[in-house]
Amino acid sequence: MKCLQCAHENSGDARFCEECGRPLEQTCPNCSQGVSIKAKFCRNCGYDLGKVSEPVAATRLISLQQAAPAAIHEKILSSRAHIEGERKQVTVLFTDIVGSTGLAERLDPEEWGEIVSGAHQRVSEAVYRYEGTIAQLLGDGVLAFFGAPLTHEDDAERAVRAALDISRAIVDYSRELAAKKGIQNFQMRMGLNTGLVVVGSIGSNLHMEYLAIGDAVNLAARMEQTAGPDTVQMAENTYKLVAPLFDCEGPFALELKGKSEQVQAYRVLRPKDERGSLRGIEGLGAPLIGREKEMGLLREAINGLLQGRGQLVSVMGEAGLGKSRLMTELRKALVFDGLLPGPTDEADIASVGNSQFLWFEGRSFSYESSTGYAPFNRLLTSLFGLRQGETDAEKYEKVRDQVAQVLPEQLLDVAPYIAAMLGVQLTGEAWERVRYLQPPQVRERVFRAVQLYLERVATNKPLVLVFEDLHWADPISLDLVQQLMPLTDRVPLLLIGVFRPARQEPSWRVHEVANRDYPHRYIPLLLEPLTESDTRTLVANLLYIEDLPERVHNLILTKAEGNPFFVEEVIRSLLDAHLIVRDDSHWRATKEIENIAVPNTLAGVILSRLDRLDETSKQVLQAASVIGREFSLEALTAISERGESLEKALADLERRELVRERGRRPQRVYIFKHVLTQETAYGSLLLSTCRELHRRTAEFLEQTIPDGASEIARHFLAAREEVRALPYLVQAGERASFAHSLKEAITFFRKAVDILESVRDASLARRAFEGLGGGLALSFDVPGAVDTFHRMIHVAETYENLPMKVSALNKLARVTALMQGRFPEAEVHLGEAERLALLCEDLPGLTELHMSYCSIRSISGDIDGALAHQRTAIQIGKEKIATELKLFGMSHCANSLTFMTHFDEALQQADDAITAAEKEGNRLHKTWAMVMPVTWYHLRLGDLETARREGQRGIDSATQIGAEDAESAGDFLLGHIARLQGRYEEAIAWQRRATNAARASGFLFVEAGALCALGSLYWEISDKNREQAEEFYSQSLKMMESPFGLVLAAQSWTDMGYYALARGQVDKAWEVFQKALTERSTFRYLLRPAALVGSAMASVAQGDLEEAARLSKEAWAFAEERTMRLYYPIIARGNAHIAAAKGDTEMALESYDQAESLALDMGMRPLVWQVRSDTARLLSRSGRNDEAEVLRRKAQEMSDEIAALFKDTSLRAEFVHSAMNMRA
Amino acid sequence: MNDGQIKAILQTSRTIASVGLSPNPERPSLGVAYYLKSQGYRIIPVNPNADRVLDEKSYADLPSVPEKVDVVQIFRRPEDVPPIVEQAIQIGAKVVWMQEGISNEEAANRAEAAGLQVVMNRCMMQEHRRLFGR
Repeated sequence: MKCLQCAHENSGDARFCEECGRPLEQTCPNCSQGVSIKAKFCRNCGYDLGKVSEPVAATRLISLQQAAPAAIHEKILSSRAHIEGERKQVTVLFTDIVGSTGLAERLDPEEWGEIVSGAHQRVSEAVYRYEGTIAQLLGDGVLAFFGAPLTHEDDAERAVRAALDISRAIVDYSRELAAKKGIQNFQMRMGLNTGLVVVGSIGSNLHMEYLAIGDAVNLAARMEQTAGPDTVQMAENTYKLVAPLFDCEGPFALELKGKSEQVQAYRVLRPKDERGSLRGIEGLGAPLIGREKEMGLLREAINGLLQGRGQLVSVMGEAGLGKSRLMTELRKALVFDGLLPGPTDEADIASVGNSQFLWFEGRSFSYESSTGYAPFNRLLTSLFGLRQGETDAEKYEKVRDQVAQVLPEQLLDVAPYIAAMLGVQLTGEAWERVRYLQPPQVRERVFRAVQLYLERVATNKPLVLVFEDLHWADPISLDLVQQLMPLTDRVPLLLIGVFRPARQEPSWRVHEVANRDYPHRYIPLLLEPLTESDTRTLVANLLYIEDLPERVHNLILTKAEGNPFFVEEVIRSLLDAHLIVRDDSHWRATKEIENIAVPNTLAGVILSRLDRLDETSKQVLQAASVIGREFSLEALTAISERGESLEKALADLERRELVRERGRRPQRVYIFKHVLTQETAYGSLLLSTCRELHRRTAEFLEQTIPDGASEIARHFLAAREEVRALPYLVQAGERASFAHSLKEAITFFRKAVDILESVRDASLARRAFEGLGGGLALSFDVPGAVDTFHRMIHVAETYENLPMKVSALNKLARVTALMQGRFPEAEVHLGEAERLALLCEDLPGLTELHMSYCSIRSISGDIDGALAHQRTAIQIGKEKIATELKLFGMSHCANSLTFMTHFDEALQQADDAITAAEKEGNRLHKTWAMVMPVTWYHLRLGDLETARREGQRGIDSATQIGAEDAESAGDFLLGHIARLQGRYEEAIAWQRRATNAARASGFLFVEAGALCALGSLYWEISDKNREQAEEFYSQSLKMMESPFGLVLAAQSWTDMGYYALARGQVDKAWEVFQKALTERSTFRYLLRPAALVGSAMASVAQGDLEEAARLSKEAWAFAEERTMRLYYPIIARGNAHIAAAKGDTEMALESYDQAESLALDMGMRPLVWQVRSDTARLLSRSGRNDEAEVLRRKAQEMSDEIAALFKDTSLRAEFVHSAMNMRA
Repeated sequence: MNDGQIKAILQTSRTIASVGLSPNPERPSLGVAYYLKSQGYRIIPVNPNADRVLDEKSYADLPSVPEKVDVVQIFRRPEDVPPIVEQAIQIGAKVVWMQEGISNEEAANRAEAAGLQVVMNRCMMQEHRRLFGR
């Protein structure tokens, strides 16, 4: 047939001109009969073909094309210029209806047109599903392309899948036609071929019609014509590309008209169950080159570990030098050697019983450097096998059970804190352990829990912890890594840190600390760039190109500077750009390669690779880059709005080694092979698209991980959706404060506060300001905190939000009073707060207010004032059912009553408080009620054992919930009791504990008291310890100078007075006893009898016996009125001294006797010993030597008894020696 | 054949004779062999139509291979498998491994009867990656 366009004489069956590609057939627009291009009228229905054929066919094509996915539409329109005359490899699909002529003849032309249209519909749906293009309608047949204008990695596969889909759809359609219209055997044939064709577009703006020219198209037509009904037949070129993917029949030899040789055809049956490998170059990937030494050292470290040796390893190297690769290869080798479970085995700790050791990884990401514990979170999540979607209860159960397996005795010291760190919401006892903790305590306990747990895990089985990309780790995680280092001395633990060697980065500290403190266990591995010969080997390994021009070879070597990742990327970019192509059986460099310009930077190389991706893959990669270096299929699906094409694009990206699958359980997660790839893909996004993707990511996270506040905030911020970021910023800040990542918390809150400049949200504003001010105060930025609360007051005023203002004033008052010691100023703020709180009935505000008042009053010794506020608090609490306030009032009221020596009332109040707190499930206030009031109740009765027992209960409760302030107060009390009993060593231990707990909780005054008590203890043990005692005293005095150092001062002054007396410094003694009696120390009433007796003794020494007698009497009256039996023996002893000074020996002896029996009764061993010694001395002075000797012996019995209580032999020796001297 | 058995084969074998290994980089066989070589296996190409593949001398058939072979890896059509299995038995190989898309029950039975282990329709590279990590 002669072509109308170019006059070429074509073979008889050609449907397109073999010379110019123009169709040689046309379709009757009326009845779809295929007719010769030369025909003027349709041979079937007589339609005038000359007039209207083009517009009608065009209309149909347009309507089909409009169904095309937007992306294709866009691509078609936008890239028309490129399509002009482009040479491309495409897979061509022909479909045609079997026996259409016969069918058409039997039907009304209009009806036939409808039927054909239905078939076309089904064809085009399938074609578009796989992003092919409908190029032309040829009568009843369709010509579709895969590979133009949109190119995909796997166009051949797409074409075959489309054909199979069509086949299925047509079978259904045929059934439908048979049922509805009685048309039998409606069938379709399909043919496929792949080859290089010239593609170009013709047609108007309204529609696009493609012309493909070349043998490839005719062969595809031939495949269709020779296919059986309802089958798909393809030529060998297509078969070669898809054979691993589909079950096929064939080959069948076909004769082609006008062709001398035979061609092979294959029939596609179905997709294979398991898809095979598509690309020969899939294995492309360099084996580890030039890292044999490092690999050897790592293997050695593992061998050491298996023999029980703990070690530290740093793998340091610049980006792309193969740090991660080294770790991957190490791990793979260990799996291969059967030492570790492989990817197909469950990887959590419970199910790796068979492996020789454990291996867990915690990677850091660049955008997480402000997320506390991020790498540990990842590491422990996999260690405990926690899964997304599990409830908090399920997660805690897993953590608890696994901790219980190895640390049953410390379960509650470990599990709640680890779970809290992992963001698990706790309940019950576990929550009690965490809820009252201050941020610094949370941090300390989390650290300890992680240490304890990992130490035990490693004890049971050698443990490897790998921290990849530590240069991005948050500061708290870096600290924790360093805290784990000491474990390597004790247990088989191998810590591997992988990071860039940047000295200014915090991660460098890990190297420094390891190098300095653990040189005996530390292996630093610094990855150097590859040598030239290694790089050559690498190139050769990546690519067997014999004729790679030396210039190109050198270019790669120079540009890559020994960076293996760069080398790989350059080569891949050459492959992508088809500068290296396959030629039959060899890779060959094309001529163009001589002129290539390799970008100077790695990013440039990657960018050039991204540019060569097909649109879908590129967009998917870009979308993924927004999510992060690691991304789940689920997240990507949600934000990329691509259904089926997504999987294919990912497979493509995986084959190109841009991303790799990281795991499938519990969901599919991918990771960018290199961070630079992610960064480059991210950087290539249009700003508007980028924001849109961030927004979608944030929305996705809101749905799936609502507690991932910092991530959600990050994405919303990047999306410029500040308002939506706001609540998450606040939440993230609160989380960070809880984890004591103060720096991070402050950053989040600051950002939130900035946003609030332009957004009104009172509740968020309040939380943000409170968080920011609180964070600053905790990090001792007092001016910053003060400034923040002033700003908060201002904002509250503009919002006309009184409760917010009350809160700000309350906090300002606390900082002013407790951190700056400016009590009057604080009182002004509190006064204003109170006025406003009452005005708006702000109960929480009132709670806080009275708490602040109470703290300030107690600390400044105004016990009555404190009590008044507590009573108010209880009252408000009772009336308005503000539980927290009521409980606070009740427990602190019991305390204040104790300070005021109203012991019975205090005990009653404490019991009430305990009952109420138990009812509300509030352990904190229960603890407070137990520690002071109950203990003091028994102590003052001289029932030291009961006091001791009750005190211990309070301390246990405090320790469990981490109430270190209450604990320190309890420790101090028990230390005091132990001292009275002569259990000196125990007393020292208690006071040391008190010091630490007080320091941790900022209870400065307890620290001051405990230090003083330590001084007194050392001095009581041995007279020789004067220097030590004075050092403690001077430290204590220094702390007492602070505005709130005086709470326990009455006790300290009393102690110091007795010390001064013993040293003969009578005036000084008198002076400090006076302080104890008159200064506004909270403990002044509790210590009053002891200070009065001390003053009396000072008067004796000064010779003023009358004053002494008066003071002693006052002491007795005070103590007796309050039944403070505790002081009876020392008052009696005082009286004895006075009587002795008066020369009334009998009276003195009687009082001594009284003192001895009382002290003996209460178990106050040191006092018994002293009284006996005093008595012996008096008797001996009166010449009653025999009696004196008896008492001296009795005194020694007691000192021996005290000595026997020492466990520490040197302390005991000191005591014994000192006691002997005293006798002499 | 379960994962444990396949693991054991991959762990204990060192020398692989790749029958039908093509020097054509777009054939899956080359990529698979290249990967295995990078993982430390000794690869011996068996292909009468090639001189060298992956820089290794190629042999016309299994009996010509002058060293001990652990695994006979087959990249040929299912119908070509039986004579290869016969040769595998003859040279004392321990494993016959038919790559993905290739299976031949009859030949497999024959090999197993002769005491060889048989893996069918599985890609050695993919199995290695699946079991030991990427």
